Amino acid sequence: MTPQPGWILVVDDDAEVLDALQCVLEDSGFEVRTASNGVRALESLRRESPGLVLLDLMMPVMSGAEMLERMRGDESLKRIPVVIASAWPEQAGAIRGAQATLRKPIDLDELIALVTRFLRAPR
Amino acid sequence: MTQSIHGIEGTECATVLLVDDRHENLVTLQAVLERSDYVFVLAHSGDEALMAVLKYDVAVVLLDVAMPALDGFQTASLIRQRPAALHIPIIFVTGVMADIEHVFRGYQAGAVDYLTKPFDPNAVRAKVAAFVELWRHRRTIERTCAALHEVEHRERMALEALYQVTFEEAPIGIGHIDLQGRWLRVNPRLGEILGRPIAQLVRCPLRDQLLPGDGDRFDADVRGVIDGTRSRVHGEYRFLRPAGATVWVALTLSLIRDTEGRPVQLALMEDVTEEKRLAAALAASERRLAQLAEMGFIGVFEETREGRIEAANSAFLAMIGRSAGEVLAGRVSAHEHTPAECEAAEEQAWKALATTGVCKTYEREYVRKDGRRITALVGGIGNDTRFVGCALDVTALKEVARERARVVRELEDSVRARDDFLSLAAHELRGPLTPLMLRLDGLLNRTERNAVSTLDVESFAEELRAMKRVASRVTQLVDNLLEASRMTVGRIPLEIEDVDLSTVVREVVDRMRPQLARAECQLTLKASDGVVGRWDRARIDQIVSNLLSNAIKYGAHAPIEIEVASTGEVGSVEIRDHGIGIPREQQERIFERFERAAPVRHYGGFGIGLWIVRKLVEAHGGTVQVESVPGVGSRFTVELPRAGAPATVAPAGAARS
Repeated sequence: MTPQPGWILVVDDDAEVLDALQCVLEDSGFEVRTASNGVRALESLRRESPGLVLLDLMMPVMSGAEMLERMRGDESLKRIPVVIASAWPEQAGAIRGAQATLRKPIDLDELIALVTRFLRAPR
Repeated sequence: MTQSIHGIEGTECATVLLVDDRHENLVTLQAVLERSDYVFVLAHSGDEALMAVLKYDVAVVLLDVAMPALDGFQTASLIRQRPAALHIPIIFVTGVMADIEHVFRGYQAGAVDYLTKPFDPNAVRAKVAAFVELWRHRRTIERTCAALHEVEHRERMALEALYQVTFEEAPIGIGHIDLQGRWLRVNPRLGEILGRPIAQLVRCPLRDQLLPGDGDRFDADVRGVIDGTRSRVHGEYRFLRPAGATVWVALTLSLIRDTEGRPVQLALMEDVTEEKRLAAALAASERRLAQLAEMGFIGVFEETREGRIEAANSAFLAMIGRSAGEVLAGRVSAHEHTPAECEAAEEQAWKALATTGVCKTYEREYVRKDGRRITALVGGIGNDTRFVGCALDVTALKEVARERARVVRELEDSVRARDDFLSLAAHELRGPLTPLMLRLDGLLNRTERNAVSTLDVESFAEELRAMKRVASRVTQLVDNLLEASRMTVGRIPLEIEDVDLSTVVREVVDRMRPQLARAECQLTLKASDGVVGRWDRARIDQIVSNLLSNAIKYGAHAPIEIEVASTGEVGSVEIRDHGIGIPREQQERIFERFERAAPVRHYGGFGIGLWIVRKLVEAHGGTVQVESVPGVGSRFTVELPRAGAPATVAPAGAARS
C-alpha cells in the first residue's frame, strides 16, 4: 500500500464509529486521527492541519455544524476540505461550507473514492 | 124628515131643526127664518127629531109642543138624554102659555126658550139668530180645539215614529225585560248580538242565553237593580250563541217605569268580544315578553347615556352580580362594570344608537361586582339618551372554545412528537449500522482481494466482536422501541423473584465498562449488600441500564457516582453525573414519552429511555425523581418498595417527583 499524502481527522461522538472508520481507512493506507466532539477536533486542527476532515453532525458539547462554522471563520482553518457524514442527509444538505456529504451508514467504496479525491488533489 | 141646505161659501151653515106634526107650520116657520147661512132640517115627529139630532150637528131646535105620540116635552127630555145633544138649545113653540111656564122651570137656563103662537116673525128670527150665534161661537172654539189637538197628535206621532226608528236602527242592543227576567221586546241589533231572531227572544228569560259560568254574577247584579239598591249596573258577561260561539257583551241594566207606572228593566248591550280578544292577546303578549325577559339566559337592561342602569332582568343582574334593589336605588353604574379596554366599543355602540337607533351585536366584557370578568354578546335598540339592550353570557362558550383549542394544540403536539419519533427512530438505527457496514465492507474487500490471510486470528476476532457489539446495540434499540410500544398498550407483566439490587447494579456496570471507558467516565459505586426485594430482575436491569446510559451520554468526560442503599422497606439506587444537566422547567417533561431535554443537534436518541424507566418503576410501585442543575449535573433517584408492588398497580400517571 502506498502511503497517501496528508492525514484525515475523523470527528464522531460514537466510539464504535470512530473505531470502524479508523480501521478501514488505515487498511486503505490513510493516516487517521480521531476526535469525539467539536471542541477536541478544533484543538487537534490548531496543532496540525489534516488533508481532510470527516465530520459527524450530531455531537455533544459542540455539534458538527458549529465546528464547521468556526473553521470557516478561522483564517488558518478555512481552506481545509470537510466531508460531512450524517444519518440525516436532509440536515447535512442545509449546512454550508462542506465539500461533500456522506450518508450513514457509509459505503466503504464511496468513502475511499471521496477521501482519495481530496487527499490527492493539489493543495 | 126633509132637509134643505143652502149655504154661502166661507161661512159655515148652521143647522136649524124645525119640529111640527103639521107640515104647513114647518114651511111657514122655514119661510120666516130663511137665511143664506141657515140649513133647515124638518122633522114631523118626536122620533124624526131624535134621529136628526143624532145625525146632524144641530145649532138650535124649534120644537112644537103639541104633537101626537111624543109631545114636545117628551121629545126634549129624550134629546137631553143624548150626551152629544145635551147642550143643544131648544125653543118650544106653543099656543098655551100656562103649560110653558110650568114646564119651563124644569130646564136649565140659557139652553131653552119658548115662542108663543101666533108669533112675531122678528122675535122668532132674533131668538133663533141669538142661539145660532151662540152655536157659532161654540163651533169656533171647538174647531180651534180640534186644530190644536190635531197638531199635538201629529207631533206625537212623528216623535213616536222617530223613537221607533231609533229603537229599530240603534247600533246598540236595546231591550226591555220584565221583573221575572223575560225579554219583553228587543231591537234588531240586540238579536244580532245574541245571534237569535227577535221572535225567539221575546218571552224568553235572558238568563237562558247567558254562559252558565257567568250566571251567578249576573243574578247578583240584577237583584240590586230590581230591589232598588242600585240604580244601574254595568258588567261584562259571556253569552252563548246558538251555534255555540261565545260572545262578550257589555250589559247595562236599569229600572224604568212605563206610562202606567209599572216597573220594567231596560237593557243596553254592546258586543265587546273583539276588544276582549285584543286585550287578552295584548296581555298574553306582554306576559310572554315578561316571561322571556325572566327566562334566565338572556340579560335585558336599560341604560342611560350617563351610564346608569335603570332596569335589568334577573339574568342581567346575575351576569354582573348586582341585585334588583341596587338597580332600583339607582346605584348601578355601567361604567363600574365596563373594563377600560371595552370603553371604546361601548362608545361605538352609543354612536350607532344615536345615528341608526340600532346597536348591532358585539362582543365585550363585563367586570362583575366581585371583580370576575365575563364575556358577553351585546346588542339592542335605543337613541342618543337610552340603550335597551340584550346581553348573552358566552363566557362558558369561550372557555369551551379555549379548551378545544388547547386540546387541538395538545393533539397536534402529540402527533408532531410521534412523527419526530418515527423520523428519529429511523435515523437512530442508521447510526450503529455505520460501523457494522464499514467493518463488513472492509472484510469483504479483503476477501475479494484474497487478503484475509494478511489478518491474524486475533485481529479477525476483534473485528467480529466489534460487529457483534454494534449488532447488540441495534437489538437493544429495537427492543426498547418494542417495549415502549407494549407499555403504551397495557400493564407490564413482571416476573417477581427475590432480587439483590446491588448485584444487578454491579452486573450493569460491568457490562457497560467499555462505554464508560470510551466516554472517559470515572465510575464510583457504593453498594451495600443485602438490598433484596420482590422485583423483576430483567426490569430492574433495564432501569439501571437506561439511567447509566443517560449518565454516560450526557455526562461524558466526567465522573459518575452510583449508590445503592436500603432505608427500611425501600430499596434505592441513585445515579449522579456531572454533565450538561436539565433546566428546571424541563425536569417534569423528560419522563414523558418522546420527550427529551437535550437538543437534537447534539444528542440522538428516541426520547423514550426515561419514560420506560418511569413506567417500570411505577409497575414496581416505586418512584423515580430527578434533581438537576444545568451545567452542573443530574441526580436520578429510584426508590422501590422491597415488598413489591401493591396488589393493584395504579395506572401510569405523572412521575412522583
